[in-house]
This record gives sequence, structure tokens and C-alpha cells, in this order.
Amino acid sequence: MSELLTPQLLNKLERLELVSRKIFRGRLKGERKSRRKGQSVEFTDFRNYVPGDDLRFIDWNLYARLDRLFLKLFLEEEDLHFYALIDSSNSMDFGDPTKLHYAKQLAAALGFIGLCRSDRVRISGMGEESQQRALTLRGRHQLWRMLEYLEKLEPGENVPLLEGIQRFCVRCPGRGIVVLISDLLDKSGYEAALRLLIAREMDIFVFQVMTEEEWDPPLTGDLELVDSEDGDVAEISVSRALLRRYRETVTAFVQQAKEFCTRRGMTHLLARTDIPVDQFVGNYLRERGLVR
Amino acid sequence: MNFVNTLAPWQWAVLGLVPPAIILLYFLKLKRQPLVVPSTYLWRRTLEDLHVNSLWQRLRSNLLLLLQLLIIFLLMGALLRPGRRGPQLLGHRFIFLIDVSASSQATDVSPSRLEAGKRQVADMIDQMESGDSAMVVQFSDRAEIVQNYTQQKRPLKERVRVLRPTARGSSLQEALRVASGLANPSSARGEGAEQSEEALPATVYVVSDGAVPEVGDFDVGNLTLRHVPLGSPKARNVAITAFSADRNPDHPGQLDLFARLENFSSQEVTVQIGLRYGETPAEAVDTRRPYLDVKEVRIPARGTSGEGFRMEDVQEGVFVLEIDLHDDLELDNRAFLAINRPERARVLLVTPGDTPIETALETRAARRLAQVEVADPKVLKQESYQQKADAGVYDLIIYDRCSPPSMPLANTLFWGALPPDGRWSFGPKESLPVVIDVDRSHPICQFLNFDDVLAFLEGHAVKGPEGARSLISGSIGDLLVLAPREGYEDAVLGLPLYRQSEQGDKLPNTDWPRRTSFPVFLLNVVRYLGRVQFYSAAPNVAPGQVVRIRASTDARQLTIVDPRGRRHKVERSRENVFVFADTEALGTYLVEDTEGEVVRRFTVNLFAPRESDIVPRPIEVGADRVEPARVRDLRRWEYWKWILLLALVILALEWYIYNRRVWI
Repeated sequence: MSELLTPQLLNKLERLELVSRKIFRGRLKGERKSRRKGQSVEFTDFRNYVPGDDLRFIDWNLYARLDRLFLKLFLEEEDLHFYALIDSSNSMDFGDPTKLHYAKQLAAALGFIGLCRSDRVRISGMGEESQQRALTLRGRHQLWRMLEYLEKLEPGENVPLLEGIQRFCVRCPGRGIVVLISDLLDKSGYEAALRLLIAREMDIFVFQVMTEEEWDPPLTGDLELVDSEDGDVAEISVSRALLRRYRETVTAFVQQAKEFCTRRGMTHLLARTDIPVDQFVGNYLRERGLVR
Repeated sequence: MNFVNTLAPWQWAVLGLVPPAIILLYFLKLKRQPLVVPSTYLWRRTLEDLHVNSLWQRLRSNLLLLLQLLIIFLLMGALLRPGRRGPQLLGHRFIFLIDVSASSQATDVSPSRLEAGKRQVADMIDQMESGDSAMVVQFSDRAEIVQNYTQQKRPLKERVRVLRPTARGSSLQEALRVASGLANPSSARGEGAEQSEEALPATVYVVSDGAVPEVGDFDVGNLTLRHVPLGSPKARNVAITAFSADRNPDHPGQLDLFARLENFSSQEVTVQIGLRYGETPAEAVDTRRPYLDVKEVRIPARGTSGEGFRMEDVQEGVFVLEIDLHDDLELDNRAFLAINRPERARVLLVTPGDTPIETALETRAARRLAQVEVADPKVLKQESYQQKADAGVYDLIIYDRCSPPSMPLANTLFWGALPPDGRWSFGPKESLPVVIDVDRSHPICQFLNFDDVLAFLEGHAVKGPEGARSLISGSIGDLLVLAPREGYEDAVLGLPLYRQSEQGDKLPNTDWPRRTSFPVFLLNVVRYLGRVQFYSAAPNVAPGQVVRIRASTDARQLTIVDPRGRRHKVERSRENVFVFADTEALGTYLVEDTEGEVVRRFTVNLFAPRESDIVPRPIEVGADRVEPARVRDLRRWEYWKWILLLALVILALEWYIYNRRVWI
């Protein structure tokens, strides 16, 4: 079994399913009941016959009694598109476990839920190469391929969020649930990138991954901080006042992202790596309505 | 605060380079440790605010640098030798004589002279070095040791702190005698003087405003006197220095009050004075009651002014005179005067008996004025009479047709007889003398009218000694003559009430006893010669003085109520007087008998121009002026040791921070 998903976690995840708050047209029949009317065994309503309707759905018993033609309507069963976008930049390679590892665990867990319910699952990184490698998977038996892809996903794809999402939008024109797993630490900002997703009218979830060290950095002394992505240097002399100020900045940064998402109908969730994945999926995501 | 430069300019220049060098080295030596972080994005945002004042932030963030700079500055400060000039105590044994007399309550220095003096003494106690010992003596008109020699500063300061002012006068001589007795054992004779274990020289600090009587020749021995002056030369004070009452001799029903006011400041002042009256002391000081009289008085600079008030129908009670002025000494702005009920005169009537005089002295009016004893002329030869007469027991003795062997210590009226001293003589007996003139201006003859008297059948002309005054004169000469005698007065009347017939029988000489003028004359005699005072101003006592009360009551114990309402029981002493000494508070004291009846009053007033004159003065002992303590006894108090100690403490703190990596 892969180190991303333990058997205990898989057992838990089997009982869950992905939920979307929006109606999406699936391409194939799935196990998901749709609000649209279609062909299944579950009756839902009648309507008057109009010329051109399929004669197979006329209720002949009613015609015999009322001498009028009615059409029987049935619930449609369809599949769901689930996309997981993982930020695999260098900044995600920090913490214990690393933020990238945590992001992969999250994506694997949600992807497994989708595969179990015959949803169309596509997990990919941000970089061009990883997006090219990405596969659209369906069915439980594809779990191994999904995990294989995730294990090969390495940090170092330092592309801006905007570029990564643009590439995603071009490759994946369908609609569905999209989960962006990133630390949002992009110096060019995350707002433009998220606006692109909004334009696609998808059900968007943003998981902002942060380590405990980022919240409360255990730093002392005079330091030269080097940015892991662009090599930028910031000189600091750690003092109580500076740390207090830093914590205020981090809190404000997370709060701003949350507000930005909430105002635009997205769901923002702070994913701290010190919270176990099964707890995060089982409690937090269930509370926020992504799974049930 | 002043400084003493200990370095040359070039040395200062070198030292001045040290702080910039420390800062420079700080920036040069600062080697930052590189650390890879996920992103500098949030750190940049954090630093944006802090970088507004980046240099200051850098300094602030490095506590060690600041502490090092502070140590250097403290060392530089220590090298400047900061210090101040302060009084130094001379010698190693000190006696603090603190003036707690009435003038120490003056408020020209805040909060009062005594408090200012206490502060100065506390400062001086603080300056005592280890091994020094001191004692504290408070003095007013008497001196009292409040703390004996001790080396401990705390009891000394505590005893000084609890000193309270008094309303007494002051006597430096008394205080010096106590101090001298402690320092010069051979001269330890004064009251209250204590002998120290060994005779050692001591410095006496006299903490006083100088309002003390001159000290004559006084051998201070091995004492060194220093004056710690108190008070401001601009102090101003207006005082009531006398307040008394007297009977109007022309109108016995009237009472004249006199007050003397003195201005002790160097500017003329106009003040309002108000007079209050109350039957009890509490009523008299009740400010809600209106003034009986208010006057405006102008008092020249350092001058006096007198004011009088005339009162009618006052039997007894308390008068309070107030100056409406907030000056630097409030104590003397109010004076008290108590009026006691008049006391009855003691009159002895020596008569063969059966006389209208006795009858006339038994009237209610007469009894109210006098306590009359009647005796037969035989008593004049008895020893008991002689003792009483010589002791001045009686105010008036009336000799009716008899004469004593010697003149008593009392006023006398001889009726149809002559005093035995030989200065008086009768003219020949003449019949039908006629009263021609009565001197009604004299109190004895007031309201006297002989018009309805039919006749005196016989009489003698009276010839008195030199200085005698004729009050009634008649056709045969002077009939009633009054003459002074060593503080007493004698009157001789040449008109007897009886005459003897040729057979020796007693016959009436006149119908005067049946007329109204007869009891009037006797009342006048009792009132004047019996020295009955319509008003009796109670005695005034200086604060702290002993009062001796001679009460006519038989009680063994009296109660004295002081102005604060506290009651003191006083026992009769062997000398048949009541002695009371707790007279510290100014005001009216009531003397009550066992039944709670007020029998006497007396007042305690300051009335001490020396205390009221609060302008500070130098103190002189003998012909020498006592030197002020501050002129010579100055020394420099240095702080560099303390600064150096502080620098060492900071150095230790810096070491601790460096080792423990404490960050602010």
C-alpha cells in the first residue's frame, strides 16, 4: 500500500462521497443521482405528451383510463468531474511532513472517494510537465494509477499560480468540483488565478496548506532569510516585537484569502499540516460540505 | 547639582569616540546566519512597517548594544563627578532643639514652621554617619527630651515626626540648660536636666524662628550652637494682645470691654474685628450666631491700636473677639473673655444692738450684695476678731458707736465714733445740724435725698486726715468724710442715730431711718466700700500655666471643662485651693461644682507679643549671635559611587542577557 493512503484511511474513505452544490452534466452515467430527468429505474414525475417524444415512455395504463397521453419521467443517474490541483513549487517542500506530502495525501483521499463513486477524477500538478502526465481516471481499479502519479509528483515546479491555472483551464474544459491545494505564497498574488476558476463556474475549494513553523517560527538572532523559490534575501534581527508583528501578518494574510474566497462563492479552508489527513477529511471537509 | 571635571579635553575626546566606535563595531561585526525559508513574502510584508524607522529599530532590537552604550555613558557621568552642596553635620554628637512654641504654628512656610523644621531635622538625621549619635529636645516655655542619645536614625526620625505644636511661649534658656546639662555634666543642675554618661562635645542645632526671649550670659561649655532658622521675613500677622473688661464707675450696670490689637507686619492694615457673646463657651464660638458688634480698625505698620465696646445688662457669660483676617498665625486672631457672677462682699457690723442699720442690711437687695455678720462691740477685744481683721477676711466693717483697738485690713465706716489711729477728730457736739450739701457724684451718695428728713437733733462736725473728701456737709461743718488708708478707705459719719438723755437713756436722734434715703445710703456703702463688683472679669491665664482656684464652695472636688469639652476632676489641695495645670488649649474653661453648677470661669489666651511677632530673628546667646547652620557647614555630596555601582549592575545584566539569549 502507498504511504499516501493507509488501509485504515481507505476504509474510512470508502463510505464517503463527493458532493457538489452545483448541477453539472456528467458525460457518462455514474452512480450519482442527478436532479435532471433522464433514464433510470427511479420514477419522478409525469408530463403531457408532445409530438416527437419517445413513445417508449408513454404510460399506456393512464391512456387506457383517461384517454390522454402522458409521459413518465425518471431520475437521471450521472457521474461527476473532480479535479485536484496541487501546488508543487519549492515553498511546498517545507515542514514535517512537507506541505507537498500533505497536499498529495489530501488529493489522494479525495480522489479515492471519487473513484469509489465512479466519478471522473483528475489530479495534476501546476507545472506543464506534470499536467501533461496527468490522467483522467474513473473506477476504483484506477487507484493504483492515481497513487503512482502522485508519488512521481516532485517539488520544484516554480510556476506562478496564474500560469498553472491557465494551463489547467485550457486542458480541462469540463465543469465540476475543483480543489486547489496550495500555500498561496505567490509574490505575484493569488487573486487573478482564482478569478480564472470563478469564470469557469466550477465548485471551487481552496485548501491553504501551512506548517506550524510558518505560524510560529522558532527563530532567534540575526538572520538572513533566503526565499526557496526566487532566492530573495530578507535580513531580520529577531525580536519579540518582530515575531508579534509577523504573526499578525500571517493571520491577516490567511484572513484576506478567506474573505476573498467567501465573497466569490469559493470555499477556503486552512489545512495545517499538524492536523492528520483523516481528521481533516472526516471532520473539516464534511462540515464544509465537500464530502458526506 | 554641579560637576567636577576629572579629565583633560583630549581625554574626553578619546572617551567621546567610544560610543560611535561601539555602534560601528556592532554593525561591522553583525554577521547574519543564512536560513532558507519557504517564502520571504510574509516577512517582507512584516518588515515593511518596521522599516519605517529602520535604524532605530535595529538599535532597539539589540539590547546588548544599548546596554553597552548605557554603561559607557554612566562611566562618563561618573567621571564628571556630579554632586551637590549640602549641609554637613559638625562633629559626631548632636542635639536638636526644636521650637514648638505658639509661633511654630505660623503658616508663612508651608505647611507650617514646625513641619518645615521637622523636615530639616529629618534631613539632618539622614546625613548622620555611622557612629554619630543624636538626641531630640522640644522646647516651648519648658524643655522636654523626646529622644535620648541614640545612633539609630529610625527612632530619632519617628520622634521628630510625632512632635506637635503648642500654644505656649518659648524659653531658649530652659532648652539650653537641658542641652548643656547633657553635654557639660558639671552644670547639670537645671530642671529636667539629665546627665550623660560622659562629657563629650556636642553640636546643638536650634531649630527655631528666633521668637525667643534673650538668653543672658550662658556658659555653653563644650556645646557648639548652630541656628536652623525657620520662617519667611515677609510673614505678616495681626494679633489681639489684650482683651479685658471693667465696670463703668459712673454707670455700674455697664461693662466696658477693651482690646489691644498689634500689627507685626511692615505694612499698615485695616481689619474688621467682631465681638460675639454667649452664655456658654460653645455659644460664644458658634459662628452661626451674629456678631454683637463689628468695628473696622486701622493699625499702622508695626503699631498698635485700642478698641472698646460698651455692654449693658451682662451678668455672666463669655465674650469672643475675632479678627477677620487670614494672616500667617491664626492662633492670636481670637481672644476670649469670661465674665463671672459678682461675689458677695463680706461685711461685719459691730453694734451694741437695737439699731436700724441691722434692719437695713437685712433687706433682700442688701443680702444679694453682701454677707453680713453682726457682732457686739465686746468682740473687738477678742483674739478671733483680731485675727480675721488682720487677715483681711472682711471687705467692710461698720463700727456703730464703737471703735476697734487698731485699724483692720478692710474698708470701714465709723458711725458716731472715731477711728483709733488719731488722724480723725470730731468737732464739738452741736444741736440741730442741717444737711446743706450732698456730693451725689460719689457712689456713696448716689440717689441720696435728705429733704424728707425732719431733723438731726445733734451731731458732730468731722475732720478727716489729709486727702479726705467731704461727701455730706452741713451747717456745722463736714458730716460725712471719706479718706484713703494704705489701699483701704475709711468713712466717718458725724450724725449718730441715737443720743443719750441727761439721765443716760437711749433716745432717737433722727427720723432718717424711717426715710427711703437710709437703706439707699447703706446699700451704697456696702456696694462701694464692700467693693462689690457688678461684673467680674475672669482671670486670664497663659497657655500651659498652672491655675489656682479659690472656691467659696465646700466641695472637695471640682470639675473643670476645657474648651475641647473634656472634663478634668481636680481635688482640693492642702492649701485649700484647687490646682489645675492642663491649660494647653486656648479658650474658656468652666469650673463646675459637684452638682454641675458653673461656679467660675477662666480663659486661656496667647496675649504674647513675642510669639505673635513672627518675623524671623537671629538668636543671640549672651552677646554672641548663634551662627546659622547653613553658612559654614556645607560639604559636597558626591554621586559618582552610586553611578559606578549602577554601571556594574547593568554590566552584570548585559552578561546575563548575552549568556541566556534573552530577547525583547
